[in-house]
Amino acid sequence: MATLQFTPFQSAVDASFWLQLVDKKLNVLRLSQDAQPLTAYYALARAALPSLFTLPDQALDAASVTKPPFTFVCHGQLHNTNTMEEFTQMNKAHLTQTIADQIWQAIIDKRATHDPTLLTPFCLLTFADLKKSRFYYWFAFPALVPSKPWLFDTNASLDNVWSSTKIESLVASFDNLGQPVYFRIDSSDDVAKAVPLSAPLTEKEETTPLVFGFADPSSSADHPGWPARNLLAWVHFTYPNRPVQVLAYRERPGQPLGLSRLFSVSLPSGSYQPVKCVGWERNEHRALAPRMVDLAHMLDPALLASNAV
Amino acid sequence: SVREYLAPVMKDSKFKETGCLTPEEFVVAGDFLVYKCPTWSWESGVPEKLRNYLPNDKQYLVTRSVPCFRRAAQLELSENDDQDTKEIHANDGDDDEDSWTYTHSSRVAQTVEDMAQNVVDEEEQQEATRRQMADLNLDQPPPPEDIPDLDDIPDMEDLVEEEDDPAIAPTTVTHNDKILQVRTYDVFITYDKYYRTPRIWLFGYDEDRRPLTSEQVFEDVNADYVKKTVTIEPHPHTNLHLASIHPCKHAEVMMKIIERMSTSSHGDEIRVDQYLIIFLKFISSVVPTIDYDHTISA
Repeated sequence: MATLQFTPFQSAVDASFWLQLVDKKLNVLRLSQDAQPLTAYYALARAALPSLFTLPDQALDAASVTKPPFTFVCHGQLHNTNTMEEFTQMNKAHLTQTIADQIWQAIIDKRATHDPTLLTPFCLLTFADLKKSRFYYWFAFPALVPSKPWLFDTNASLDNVWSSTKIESLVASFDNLGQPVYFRIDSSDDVAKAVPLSAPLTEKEETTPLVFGFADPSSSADHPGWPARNLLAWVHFTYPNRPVQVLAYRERPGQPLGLSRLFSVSLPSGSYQPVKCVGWERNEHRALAPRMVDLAHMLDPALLASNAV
Repeated sequence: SVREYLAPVMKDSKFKETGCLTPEEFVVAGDFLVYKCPTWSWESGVPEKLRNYLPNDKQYLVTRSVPCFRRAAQLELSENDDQDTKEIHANDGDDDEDSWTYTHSSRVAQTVEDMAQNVVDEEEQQEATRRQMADLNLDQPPPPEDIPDLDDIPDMEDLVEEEDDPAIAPTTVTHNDKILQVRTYDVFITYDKYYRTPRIWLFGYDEDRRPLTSEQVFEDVNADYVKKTVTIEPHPHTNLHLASIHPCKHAEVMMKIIERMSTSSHGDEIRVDQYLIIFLKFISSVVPTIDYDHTISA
């Protein structure tokens, strides 16, 4: 048995998003620092690439976000500060703890069972230096942390443990289910069917290990991606003391599940009380610190001039 | 631009004779591309830049976060390239602006016809590129980029205290787990009303997801194209300035490619909806290491 480790997200902000933010700040938000809803997505794993978490240009306007195929929507909140001082002094631990408490609440009152996207919230802290067209930002992907880490005893390539017909049946039912971010898998020798987390257990499942799947952005053979963490918290609360397998679902358009992995996991004598979380993204120096993007060299000069006023 | 504004919208299909597309054909070819290669999708861009000759929800095509494993120069170095470059002077002008350089892989391309033939043989080429990609030493980290002055980032470490979490995967690359920090590109295809062809735009991000400067983007363009045909211009549907491959010769090249493919494919007619797939094969000779999806399964 070894500690199960998870691949963190790498944030990927569409440069156009910053222009939308500037526009919204100048014309709507002005000095308001109220949290704003954000819509983002992550894509399924691609060989050799990091787990990208994309904030699209229309992230501030949920209605107009175009979600590419094979991506999974995450709902978050934007905290845009007016000054660098407020940016640095914002109580960040409080911010993520609040979100973690909300995740846990959604797990225990079963809302997350019916709306699994409640398990994948994120937050973004920003400061826009309009004069210099520089944007300081820091993502958090809150993940609930158990008192003792999850362990795994097997980690297999799906190709090695499932027949190709079984894999094909899973892909088909995953599509039929509308490509959910989290799902349970009702599985027999030759057939695997993705069902919603809220579906009641079959008679057979009452006595066999439960198999849960999640849309996985991680391409690592050793590590499932970040979204597995809150799924495991949900599993621990909803089906305590059950043997569990986790399928890291990694499909590429037109390709089978060649990168997918199946982990047998267990949480030995741990608990999620009190509710603790991690998730602030490390920057390019691997430090727990914000990132900065400088767009001065690629903005429309007219826009630059109007922002600088 | 004024020129684009004044150009009449092309109505009659002449794609085989001219290599040009009408906006309707651009939409048809775009729909086919999205169908065949689902990593591409339609977008509408900012509302004030909507073009009325295209459907509001199909203004341009985009594929995001396309990996770019190495610089174009690294690819060229592995080939005997000095011989491969020839300038082609278009019939209609002698000045430098009209001369174009076509280089593709190790082939000597002396005429637009040769260029077209090369693209017809693209499948082989793609295989070769993929093999080269596969041969890359994935354990070797990319050369370090200039990292902006840390003084720009306020000293905030320690402001967040997170417990050491044994469940966070290490960021270092382990041998059997090849996660690369690579450049990624957002690739856009717009419709250029003046030249009546698709037009390619590139937005690059470095290994840490910071936007690339234009000089850095040029490192991913085949050197023979950088000076003459790749320019930084305002994207027609966003407020950003991006690198774009100038479309002034696209129609001519596409016409020749289509001609070649028609004669080489046993009389099978090239359909207009296949235009963008063919176009992307051509563009991959300009940006050989940007690994976007234009595969077509029969």
